[in-house]
Amino acid sequence: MIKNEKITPNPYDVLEVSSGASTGEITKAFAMAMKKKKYNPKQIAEARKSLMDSQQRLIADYLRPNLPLIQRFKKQDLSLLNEPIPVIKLLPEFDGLDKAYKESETISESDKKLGLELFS
Amino acid sequence: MNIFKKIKIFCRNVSQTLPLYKEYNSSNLKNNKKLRELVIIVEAIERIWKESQYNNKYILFHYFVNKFLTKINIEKQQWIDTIKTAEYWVEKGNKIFESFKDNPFEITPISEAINLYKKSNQILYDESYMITEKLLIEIFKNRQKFRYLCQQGKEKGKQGFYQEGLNYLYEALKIFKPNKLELQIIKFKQKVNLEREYNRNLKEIKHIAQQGNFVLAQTQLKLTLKKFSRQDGEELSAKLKRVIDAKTEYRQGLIAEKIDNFNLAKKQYLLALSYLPNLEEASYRLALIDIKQNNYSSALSYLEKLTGEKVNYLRGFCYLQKNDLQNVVKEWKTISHPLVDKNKESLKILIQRNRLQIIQHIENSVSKEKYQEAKNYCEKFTEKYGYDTNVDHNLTKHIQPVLEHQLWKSLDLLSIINQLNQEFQKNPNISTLHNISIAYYYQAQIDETYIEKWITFLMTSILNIKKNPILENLSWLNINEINYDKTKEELIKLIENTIDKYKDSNLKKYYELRDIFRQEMLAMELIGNPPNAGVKIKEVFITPRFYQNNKSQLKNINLQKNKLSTLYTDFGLTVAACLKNDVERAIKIKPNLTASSEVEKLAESLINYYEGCYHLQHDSWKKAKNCLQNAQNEIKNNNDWITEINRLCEKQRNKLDNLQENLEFGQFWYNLLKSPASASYLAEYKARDISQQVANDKITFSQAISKLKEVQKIDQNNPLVTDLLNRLEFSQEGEEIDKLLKAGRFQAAVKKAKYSSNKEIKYTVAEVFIKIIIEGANAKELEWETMQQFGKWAYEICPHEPDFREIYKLLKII
Repeated sequence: MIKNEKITPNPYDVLEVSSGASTGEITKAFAMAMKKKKYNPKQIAEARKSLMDSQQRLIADYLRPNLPLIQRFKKQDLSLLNEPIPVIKLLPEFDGLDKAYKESETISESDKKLGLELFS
Repeated sequence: MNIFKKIKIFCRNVSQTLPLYKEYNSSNLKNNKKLRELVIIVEAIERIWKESQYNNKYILFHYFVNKFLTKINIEKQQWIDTIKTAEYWVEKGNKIFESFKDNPFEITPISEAINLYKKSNQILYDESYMITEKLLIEIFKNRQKFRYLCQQGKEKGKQGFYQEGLNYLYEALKIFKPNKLELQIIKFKQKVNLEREYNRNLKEIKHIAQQGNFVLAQTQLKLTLKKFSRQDGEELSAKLKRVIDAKTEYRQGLIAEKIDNFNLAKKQYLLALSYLPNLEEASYRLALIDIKQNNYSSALSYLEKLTGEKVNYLRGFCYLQKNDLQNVVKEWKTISHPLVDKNKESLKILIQRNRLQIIQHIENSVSKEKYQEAKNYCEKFTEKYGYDTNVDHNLTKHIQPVLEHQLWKSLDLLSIINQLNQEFQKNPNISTLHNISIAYYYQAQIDETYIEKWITFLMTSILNIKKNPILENLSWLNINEINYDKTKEELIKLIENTIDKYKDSNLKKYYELRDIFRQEMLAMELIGNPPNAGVKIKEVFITPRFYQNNKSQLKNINLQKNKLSTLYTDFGLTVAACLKNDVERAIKIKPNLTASSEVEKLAESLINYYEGCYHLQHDSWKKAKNCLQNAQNEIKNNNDWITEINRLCEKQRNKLDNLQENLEFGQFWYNLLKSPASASYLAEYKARDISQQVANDKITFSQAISKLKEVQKIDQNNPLVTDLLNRLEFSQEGEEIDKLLKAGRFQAAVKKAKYSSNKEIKYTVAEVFIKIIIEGANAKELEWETMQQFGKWAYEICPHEPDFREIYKLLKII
């Protein structure tokens, strides 16, 4: 957790133990913390005292972020990606340039449609 | 002539004048402006007095008669002048009318003549003038209508609609028949035949155009317009030209496209569209050229307003090239074409590949520990293909947790707070709320400007403590063994200790934080433990400060009108101070706002009530007055408040000794509550005031009685008021009887005393008579009959009074 002189550290962070630590683990961690000297002896002693008192320990638990458990990542079958990619081309039937040209020489259906639309 | 004869003439004149004068003086003639009749009356009166040569200066009434005659003569002259003016106007009006009588196109002179008649009729009544005015108005209306019809007809002719114009002219002819109009009608009739032929041709040409033969339509129209031209024909001609030009350019485009000169083809198609924007074929060809040139977005823009299977296919093809497969499915869905069906099969494979490609991106990002990127891909996948179990599992159970762990490892508290706030806005839940409060816990220790935020979030988190998962899965403690109340206490203590640190160093900040803390604590108290009712965002109960800090995003929350909700308003801090009886502080921090919503009005009233009570407690009722008056509506609905105000007012009244102040205070108290105590108090002081005014001769008995009766409406049975009223009534009656006696009107005095409801009055008046009898008898000044009369009066007033019985017997009355 954040280490800053102004901040009161969380007892769990001072003793570097998990939330589920037993009394024995806390005692051992206290000795280790004293050796490591990451925090001053007063802070280490207070951290031990807090974690030994169930009500104080509950507050220490409360003052930690509630982070979710990280579960296993599930992989999927991607074999389809190895198969050839289908190609879709523009269908010439939908172009109709010749038909349009022929129609432009006479009075086409679209002319009649246009005539009705514009002159009714 | 002797005086008696003159008086006789005078009397005869008067009797002749009176009926005329009555008529002259009646409001009927003057009000109805019948000036000619009035002049005749005046002249008749003048004749009476002139003929009788009534000019003897010794007659007593000479002066008054002359004065009267002068007065009516002046009036007569004025009326004659008025009649002359009215007649002048009428004459002028007649002249104007005469000079334009035969020209039905002229209406202005008629209007002028009407105005002159109107002016004349306003000052003089003359039936013939009235009739003429009405006639002139009628003529004016007819000419107006005539002119309108002529103008309309002329206008229609100008537009080439001679038949329609003719109809108007025939209508005009029914009113007046001037030559000019008849000539116009002949002219129109000649044009009508041409117009009919034109109409027939135009109909035929339109029909040809409707069948798509635009060139033939144009040729025939040109021939028609040479014979008869009209606006609608010209417009049709222009429209046909636009269509023919568009079709020509379109055909040029097709020729260019056929030789693969796409640029020229595009130019021609666009030109065609400039002539005829709804030439769909041109838009379709433009889209096809764009597709051939791989400009799919541009192609889509040309297809935007088009419909049909062909268009759907092209649009779908464009989306396919843009890899927007969902839209391809949508566009091709309705197309039934064997070749497109084959394309649809390939499309399914492409979609499946696309899904797997995104999943591959997610897996690659995770393997490279690029979790934010992986999260973005997951969101993109869900947006495109909807919910997928595996993708959702990977996002919520792996990627998101890793991101959260990474976030806390970053140690950048402000960034943590920022991200968590965004997360809370998207998905409000207790875990995120808890984490924000922890981030603020540490940030506030580094930078004290964040203390307020920390208090807000921690208090909100504490409010929801029983639902907080942080305490749910502790391996070292069974959930049933958790003492939530104790834990809450400890956490609240943390806040209190933090605030207390400022007590000696920064008193201003100390008070500010304490205000906030008090507001939050009070809300928590009112919400209950566990919380059962209050302001919520989804399942999370929120505190007033939390609401205030996020108000702009919580507009959908409707605050109820109750005590708890008042804490959530802008008045919340002050309300909390009031409810915790720190009114002195409340007055200091009261916001200068206007309450608008119902709950704000309640908050404002509550503050006003507490402030008012505070001033009453400090014997400053004048300061309390405004506050309590402002809260009056709410006070009426709150019995506890009424009781407290009554109690404080009782206390306050004992501190006042000045009559005027007592009166003002009593009026305020009564106006505010109308309680029995306030009514009795006000009535009492009003009575005292009235009594003082009577004593100082500022008001009479009768005024005082009437004022006291008003006071009785405030407190019906107030003993002080009733007593004073009785005494005043007694004094008033006594005074009246005394006046009657002094004026020697004994009979009237007796009558008044006899019917008085006051026994004392009766006794006193009777006693006066008895005393007169005794003193008169002793001095031997009164005769037997006089004494007996006084005795009878006394007996009439008090027949059964034992004190007087002896006298009655002696006087042989009984």
